[in-house]
Amino acid sequence: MDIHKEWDQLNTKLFSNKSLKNEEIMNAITSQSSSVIAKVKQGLKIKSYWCAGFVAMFLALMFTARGNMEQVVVIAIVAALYIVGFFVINKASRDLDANIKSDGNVLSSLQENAKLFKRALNIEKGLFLYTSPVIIICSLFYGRMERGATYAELINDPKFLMTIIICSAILVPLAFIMGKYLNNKAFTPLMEELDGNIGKLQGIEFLKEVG
Amino acid sequence: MSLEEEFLGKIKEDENIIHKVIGLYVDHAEDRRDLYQEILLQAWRSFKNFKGNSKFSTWLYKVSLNTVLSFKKKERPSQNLDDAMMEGTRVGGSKKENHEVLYYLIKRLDEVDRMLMTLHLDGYSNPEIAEITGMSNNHVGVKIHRLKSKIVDQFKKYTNGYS
Repeated sequence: MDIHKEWDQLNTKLFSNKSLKNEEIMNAITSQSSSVIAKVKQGLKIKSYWCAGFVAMFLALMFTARGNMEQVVVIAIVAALYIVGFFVINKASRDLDANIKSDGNVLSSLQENAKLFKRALNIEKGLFLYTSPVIIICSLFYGRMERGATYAELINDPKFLMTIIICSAILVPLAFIMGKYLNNKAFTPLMEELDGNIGKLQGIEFLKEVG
Repeated sequence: MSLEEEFLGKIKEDENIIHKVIGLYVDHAEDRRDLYQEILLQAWRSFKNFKGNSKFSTWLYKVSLNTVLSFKKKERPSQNLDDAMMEGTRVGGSKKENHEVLYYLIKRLDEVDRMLMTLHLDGYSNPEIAEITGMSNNHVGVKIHRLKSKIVDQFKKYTNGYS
C-alpha cells in the first residue's frame, strides 16, 4: 500500500471542503476564548470580585462595631487578608495568559500551558491555606465578642482556646481536601494528558525504549 | 488591505488544515464547534506576530495543533464510532476504502504519534517537523520510521480479510 497516495485521497475526500464563511470567522475572532486557561482566568477574576465584596461587607461591620475597639481590630485583620487576597488574585488573573504564544512550537506551548495551570491552582491552594485558619479564628473571636466577652477574657479562657484548636484542626484540612478534590476532578485528566504529551515530545518514553 | 482582510484571505486559503486537525483529534460535534472557534481566535490573536518567515500553512498548523492539544474535551461516555465502523469491516460489513482504513488507523494512534504521522504524510521534512513540534531531529526520524512500519502492518491486518 502507498500510504502517501491514500493520504492524498483522504485529504481530498474529507478535508478539502471550503466551508468557513467570512461571517463565521469574524464571529469567532471577536468571541470569548473557551480554552481552559481562559476559564481558569475567569474563575480567578470572579474570586477576586468575591474578595472585594467581602472587604465591603467587613468595612460595614467595622462601622457598626465602632464602639468596641477590640471587635474592630478582629474584623480589620480579616478585611486586610481579603484586601491582600483581592490584589494577589486580581494580578494572577491578569498575568495568567500574558505570555501565551499559540504559534510557538508544540512542546514549548504545552509546557507553558502546564506551567500556567499549576501556577493558577497553587495560587488558589496557597491563599486558602494561609487565610482559612485566620478567618476561622477571627470568626470565633467575633462571635464571642458579640455576646459581650473581651479579648483578654477570651485569650485566658482554656475552653475557648481548645475550641479554636479543634475547629481549625477539623475544618481547615476538611475544606482543603474538599477543594483539592474538586480541583483534581476538574483538571487532573487534562494535566495528566499534557504531562504525558510533554514527556513523549521530550523523548522520555523513547529514551526508555532504546535505553 | 486591512489586517482583518488579510487574515480572512489566508485562513480561507488554508482552512483545510483546521478541518484536518479537528477531524483527526475530536469526535464530538460540540467539541468540534468550540475548537473551530478557539483555533480561529488563537490564530487571530497571534496573527500580528506572523512575519512570513515560514509558510502561512505551517504557521496555522502549529496554532491548530497547540490549541487542540491543550483543549479540555467535555466528559461524556466513550462512543468509539470508528472502532464500530472497523469491526463492521472485518466481520462481514461492507468493505471500506483504503483511505478510510488509513484514517481509522491514524486516529487510533496517540496524540503525539498522530501529529508526527500527519505532518509527515502532509509532506513536511523531518527538520521541519522537529521545528514545529520542538522534538529533536533524530527522535523525529526514528519515530516516523517506526510509525510508518506500524501503520503498514496494521493496514495489512485489516485488509487481509478481503484479499
